[in-house]
Amino acid sequence: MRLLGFSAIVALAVSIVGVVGCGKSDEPQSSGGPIVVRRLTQEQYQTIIADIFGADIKIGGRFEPDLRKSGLLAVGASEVSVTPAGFEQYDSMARGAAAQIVDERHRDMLIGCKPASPKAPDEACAKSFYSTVGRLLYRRPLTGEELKAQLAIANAAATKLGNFYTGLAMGLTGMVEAPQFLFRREVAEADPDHAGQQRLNAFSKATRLSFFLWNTTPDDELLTAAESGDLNSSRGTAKQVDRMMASPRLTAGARAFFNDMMAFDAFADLSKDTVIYPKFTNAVIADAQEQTLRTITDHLLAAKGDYRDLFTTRKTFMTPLLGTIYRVPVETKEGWEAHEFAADDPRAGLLTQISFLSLHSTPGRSSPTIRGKALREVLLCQKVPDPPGNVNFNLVQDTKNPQFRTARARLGAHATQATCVGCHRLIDPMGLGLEQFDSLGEYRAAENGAPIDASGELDGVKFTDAASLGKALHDNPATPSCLVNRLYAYAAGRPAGKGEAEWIKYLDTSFAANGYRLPDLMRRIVTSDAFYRITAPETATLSVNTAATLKESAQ
Amino acid sequence: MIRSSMRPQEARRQIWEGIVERFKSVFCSAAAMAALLAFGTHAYAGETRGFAVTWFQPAMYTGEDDCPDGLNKSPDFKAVFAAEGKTPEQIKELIEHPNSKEFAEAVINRGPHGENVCADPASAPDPGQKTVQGKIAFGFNLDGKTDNSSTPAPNSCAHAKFSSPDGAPNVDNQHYRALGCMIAIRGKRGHDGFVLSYIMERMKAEGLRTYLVEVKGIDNPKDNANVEVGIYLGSDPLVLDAKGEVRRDTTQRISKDTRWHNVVHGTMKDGVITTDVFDLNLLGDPIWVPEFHFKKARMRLELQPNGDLKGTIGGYQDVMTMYYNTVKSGILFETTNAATCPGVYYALKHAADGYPDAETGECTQISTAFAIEAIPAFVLHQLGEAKAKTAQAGAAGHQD
Repeated sequence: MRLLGFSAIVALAVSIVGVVGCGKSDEPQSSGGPIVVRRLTQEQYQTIIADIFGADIKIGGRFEPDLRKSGLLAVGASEVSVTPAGFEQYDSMARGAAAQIVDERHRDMLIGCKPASPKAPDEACAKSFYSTVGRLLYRRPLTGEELKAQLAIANAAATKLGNFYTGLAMGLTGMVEAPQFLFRREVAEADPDHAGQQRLNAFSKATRLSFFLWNTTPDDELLTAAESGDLNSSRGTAKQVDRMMASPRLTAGARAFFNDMMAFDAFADLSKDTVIYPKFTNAVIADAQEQTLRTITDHLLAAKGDYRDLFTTRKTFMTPLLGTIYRVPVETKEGWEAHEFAADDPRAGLLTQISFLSLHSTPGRSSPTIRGKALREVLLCQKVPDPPGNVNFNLVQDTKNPQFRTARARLGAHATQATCVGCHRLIDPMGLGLEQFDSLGEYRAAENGAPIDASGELDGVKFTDAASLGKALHDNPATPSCLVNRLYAYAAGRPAGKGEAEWIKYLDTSFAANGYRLPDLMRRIVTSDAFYRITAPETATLSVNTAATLKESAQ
Repeated sequence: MIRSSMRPQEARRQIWEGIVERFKSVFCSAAAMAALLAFGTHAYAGETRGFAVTWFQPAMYTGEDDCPDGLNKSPDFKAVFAAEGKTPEQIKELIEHPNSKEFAEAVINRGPHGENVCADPASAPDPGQKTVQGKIAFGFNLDGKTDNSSTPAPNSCAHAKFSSPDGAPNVDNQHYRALGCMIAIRGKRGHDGFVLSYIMERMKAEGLRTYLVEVKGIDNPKDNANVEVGIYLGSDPLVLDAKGEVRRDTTQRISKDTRWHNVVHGTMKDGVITTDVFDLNLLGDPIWVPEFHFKKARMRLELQPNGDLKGTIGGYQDVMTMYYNTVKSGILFETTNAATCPGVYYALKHAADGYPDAETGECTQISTAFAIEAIPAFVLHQLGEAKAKTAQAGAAGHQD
């Protein structure tokens, strides 16, 4: 019998600790990080409105563009504001939503009370409505001042216009375009369990939890746990985490994370030359993204699989449209069906899915450089420098040059230029491993009549084709480590700081010990103290910072 | 069936043909059984390729010498109206309103007694449609005749033979002979006259009809002694790609209606599949052709380097069905196709070359050739089959 190595023993210990759920005692010290203020993403805005008021409330308008920082829009969301033009859009969307909520079709179901007269103000009914929805919109109860201000607007408008509902809608419009709704502003408070340290207050903690796990506003039960103070205890937090992770909404949370990590927002600007790739349509773009997200969530959540296996799995899902590009039969005429590629099929793992292959290509040709760069940056969290401004790409772009019939030949000639060699060595070999798939992601054995050599090397590991490249990525220690970093940054709204290095290392170790299972990693993050630790010296000064004050002021 | 009024000579011929047919039937069944035993139950083991048909229209060869007398024309409307006794003022009024109901009625109801000459073409005299005088046509030797004698082959009517564009002699395509001098169906590739193209574009764009082809038993990319060719009605509409062409590699289900299932043995030599003789039945489209029934059909199909399939289907079709399918739009046919209904009727009747009527001796069927083009698709016979299917469509992939 072989003796266990030290790392295996550590891993085993971590695993046992994880399983029995007494985790916090072994957590390394973490400095935590500063509080962040994050603007809601378009998806979050739409999901929240649908969650509170129903999916049939239509949101029309253009959202402010998101900003990608440190590989994530979730981090960029901490650095963006609202422009005047953007506010006009938010105002328009808020008016539209409010008008629908109070219209005759929805009012009885959504308002929850009836005014004494539909032609006059009714403060009791308005107060009930604003208190209920305001708590969900602002992710905390409204303060007394906020509620008073809302009622003043509603009453004045209802009196002037002779319509209770119009007045109610005007007040609601103000709430839906208010900074308290559009921005997730975190608030810190003194940590009674750790003298001299700060932690998120219960409502900010609830908000982090909810947006991380469900990508939406906290529900009534979570807010109630925050109000009662339950969420400040480990047991109370664990109870809510159990509930939330058992919910099907966890899938929405995981999808939102991977949508961000995989940079799928770039699909909005993706185009292909349809003369070369006539199978490319907008419907293909939508299906390709959905395929990858389904593959991920099915593997990681439903099957509780190893994260690394996403790069080698033969299992995925198909639509009739995707089947024409993968060239596999698809029996369903609408929707999705499970599909498993044969063991000798050139496709295996996310790298060989249309979403990755097409997103990281030019409109008219595949690009080993772009694909290699994406692989380094998106999946291994490594930064590749941008090319210098004076590079001549003519040789690479000339796909009809009879001297250089394959991308490998063209890049080989291009990379002889001294300024290009360094970066191309870093990214091309992996990109060339995907060359048997064209810009759309369709398989090809040859380019311009020349067979495609898809062999290469990833950080010292040789591969022969896309499937073995996926295996090399699977075995690369940077692959799971990148996920840990991204997931934490996504949840916290900022990259981990220097004072959190040990904490991240601990997450890496426990992720490995738990078989690289995403739910376990998510649980470990959200049940830790480190996740809610705040370094900023900000003191809880606002009346909204304590549950008791909030309750009092809301009455 | 032999009618009592039949002439003795004709009766004897039909009896003999019946005996021959029965002998062929028994012999072929025995041969098929022997082949089955020889090849085992996996007579068509090997690769199966599926295709969705993107073109299926009469194969009309277009050469420089086909129509030395020129092409046909629409009726001379003024002459028609004058013959109908219309005054110059009435004629002027009609000519100025060619889309009016009055114009259409005056043109179409020009029979000697006001008959609709498209619905009842025999009511009008033969205007003498110009027919093909050339020597080349797409198609097959359907009647089996190989000599130059004037004696028609059994079960046929006398007619001149063509050669195929690649030089094969004794081609029967009397449908082309009758209609090949109509501008509307002449095209640069021999099968893409503007009317035919229009029909196919609508068929594809509106998903009116899907035909599927399946070739089983491809052990060798070039030569296979035994392949099975199936041509089926599909139950899923064709899907277009970003260029407006039919999307490649779609999954297509075969219709459950076995009336439109046609399976025939064939051989492949140098990449060209030639089938045995069979009867081909396909449901047509809701607009132009209700049903296709090819008698003594055969196919020649060529696998293309890009995975496509191109070829020709030949066979006899009912002459009156062909007539009505051609002119069914009436006035629209006469104006847009530059021909006349009676001209088409008489040309087809005179050209008919198969299946003589036992009583009159007039042939009731006409030799035809249809061009067929198809692209790779996954053809499913039943649900659950997809899982077992190998990547049959374009497995080698394409090249940029």
